[in-house]
Amino acid sequence: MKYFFIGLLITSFAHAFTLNNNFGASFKDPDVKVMVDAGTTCATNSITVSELQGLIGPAVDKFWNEVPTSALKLDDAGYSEAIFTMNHGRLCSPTDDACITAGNADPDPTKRLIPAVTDIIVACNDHPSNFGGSGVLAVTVPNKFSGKKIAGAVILINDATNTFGSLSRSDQIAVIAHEIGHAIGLGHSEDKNALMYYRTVNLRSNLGQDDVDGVSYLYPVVIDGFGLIQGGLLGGCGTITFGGRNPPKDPPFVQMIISLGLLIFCFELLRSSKARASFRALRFILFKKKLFFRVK
Amino acid sequence: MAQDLSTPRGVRKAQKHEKRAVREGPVAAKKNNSNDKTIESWVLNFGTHTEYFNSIQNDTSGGTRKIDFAPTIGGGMLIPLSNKDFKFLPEFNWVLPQSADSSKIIKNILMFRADLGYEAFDWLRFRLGTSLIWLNQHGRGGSTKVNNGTGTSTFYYPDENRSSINNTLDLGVEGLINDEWSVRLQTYIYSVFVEERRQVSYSLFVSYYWDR
Repeated sequence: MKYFFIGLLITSFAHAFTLNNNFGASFKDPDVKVMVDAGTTCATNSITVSELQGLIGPAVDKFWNEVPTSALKLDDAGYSEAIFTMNHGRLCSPTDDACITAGNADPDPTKRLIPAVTDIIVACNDHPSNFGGSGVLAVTVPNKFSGKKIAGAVILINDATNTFGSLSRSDQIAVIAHEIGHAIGLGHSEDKNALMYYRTVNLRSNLGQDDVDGVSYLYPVVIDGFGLIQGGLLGGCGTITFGGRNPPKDPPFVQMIISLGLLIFCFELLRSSKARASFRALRFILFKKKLFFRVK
Repeated sequence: MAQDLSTPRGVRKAQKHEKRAVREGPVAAKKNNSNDKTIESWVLNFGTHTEYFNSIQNDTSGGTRKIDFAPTIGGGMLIPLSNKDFKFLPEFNWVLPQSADSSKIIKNILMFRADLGYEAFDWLRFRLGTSLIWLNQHGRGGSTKVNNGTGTSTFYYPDENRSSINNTLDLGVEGLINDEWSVRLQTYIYSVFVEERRQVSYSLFVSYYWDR
């Protein structure tokens, strides 16, 4: 019976976000750099490395950096050092032993295993085993872990075909943003409105509800004081310390008390004689309310 | 006892006070005179909450969500201040749990908040305040097979309980229908100082006030 009443309270929505793995892996530090491999070439897609790098900023700022309930802060950090195998090599999950063995045994050294990286590295790649087919635009594998935390991930654009290059720029940005979603730990959503839906849609303008919920789950904000994440409202004073998801020294209610204190300070200002006169004049101008109209 | 007779609302309260004095005697009426109370009224809120106005994609053509139906209930109090135009309005609201994929994830939003209210007219109150908005998501674990473009892949549901806490700057406007009922648009501005992350959520409330 109690579940019946609990059920009555719950309002359902259709789909849910999913995670890449069964241990909810995310980057330990929510400040994550996203870089393009300096030596990458996207010849088949006819994209220059600078054009590819130009897609990163909009992909992080228009999508993942917009969520105030998430501590994740993706940084468009330019270029990473060139990795020898990045353009033609094999990308393997660190737990996929068969893939790693095959990659290391390839007679062509340029097609061997892409090494583990730190941060998020984006590149073009034409190794056919990395992509399930020509329709796959890109793949992402977090390939470096520190315990149960992601330390690095590689995003490969499918350069075996020119499908990615034929997309509009806004669709290319959405594809990169989707792959960054995998890199930070999210899986696919069944909601067509979500960025993490498995395929492109007519127009991808914003994150969907699933994406917002997912990134808020993986990178929760302990307390965000009016947006000054590095320390809440008193960040400048160093009173509240906040490093990623470390607990703050002061409980969240301190933040609210400070905010209320500011409001009461404003209220008291309003009550001072000069401010009060100004306020009454303003009120008269705005609302035509009489200055003194009270019977005691 | 001083009565604010400058507004029809004040006059109605004075009349109510006089009626009570006749019915129960002057002591009872004095005891319940709103001017003497720490808490003038209790409030019950019923409404709906919309997260991130105009920033959540809700159709495949790029449209964004303007309004959402997320039932919200809450309660609070109305505390008079020495300046009679202003009220202090602390309250607690709860966006009822939302469940996804057969309760694999349950989401709760709790709001601990307080406003300074300014009655510009006897029928209109502006509110300026702050909230602690507590977003909690509880996952029950498990996995699901989801399309990956060339087939299906196994993805996983979260299996932990995690919360985000945001301190928001709130603006509201409340239409006072009569002494007991009001309608309110309450906005919550996230990350006021960081343009990139700034978002506005809002609630629409119908509120019921009753005297203590």
